[in-house]
Amino acid sequence: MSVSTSELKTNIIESLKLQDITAEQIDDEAPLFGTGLGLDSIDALELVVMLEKKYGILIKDIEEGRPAFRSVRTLAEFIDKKRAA
Amino acid sequence: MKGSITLAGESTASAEELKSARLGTRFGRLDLCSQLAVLAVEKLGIDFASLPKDRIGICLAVKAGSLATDIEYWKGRDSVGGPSPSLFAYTLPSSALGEIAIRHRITGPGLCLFGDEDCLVEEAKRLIAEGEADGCICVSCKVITPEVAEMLLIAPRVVARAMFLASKMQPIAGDKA
Repeated sequence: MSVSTSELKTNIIESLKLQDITAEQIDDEAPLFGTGLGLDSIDALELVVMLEKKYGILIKDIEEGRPAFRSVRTLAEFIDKKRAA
Repeated sequence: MKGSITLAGESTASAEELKSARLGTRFGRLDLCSQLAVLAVEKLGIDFASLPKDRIGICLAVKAGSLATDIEYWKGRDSVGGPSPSLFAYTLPSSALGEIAIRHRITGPGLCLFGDEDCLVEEAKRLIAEGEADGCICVSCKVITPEVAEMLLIAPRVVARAMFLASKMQPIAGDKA
């Protein structure tokens, strides 16, 4: 079953403890880092932990995860691909 | 001593107040000590943007260092994925000082004192008197959670107190000189 971007956004908000922002306010295509949500390198590590906790996906090499962390959509696709493997 | 040093503002912040504090999207990432310190400084109501950033100092006194955060971080060691990486960044007693500096873009001198706040104001006055700063934010953080209290055998208390001492700078909103 595909992960919904809505569920993923809720998990991102929860794991990064983002305040005053809802899942609906996060654009599926917006960059997670830099512009867009404006996340930083520590957030990236927190997202790696979230992927393991919530989806059982272990990222051993950060280079593997880099393309996945472009946006909510790419992260959802990454989760689906890992689950299917 | 160069001129007079005045108390330009004073405030406190409690754990209860944090529940309704709205200080930006990333405020939730801060540890308890940093949240209290940032909120207490915010409640001073001083417009730091109008002051020269490199002439403002920050003196922080942390009663139990980062012990409360250290304990929280340690609790996560056995969880799936390990402890929180963002919490790790706060396992330093001086992290609240950094958060205040980042929020207000302050680049003046910083000083972190471990323990009671006895010499906090004196150190701030010294920074101003010696010409290292024109104003100084003083923050005393007591993050004595029940676990810390049990460890240090002291009464639990979670509160931060902020003051702003100033010299030569004016006008400052709420100046009590």
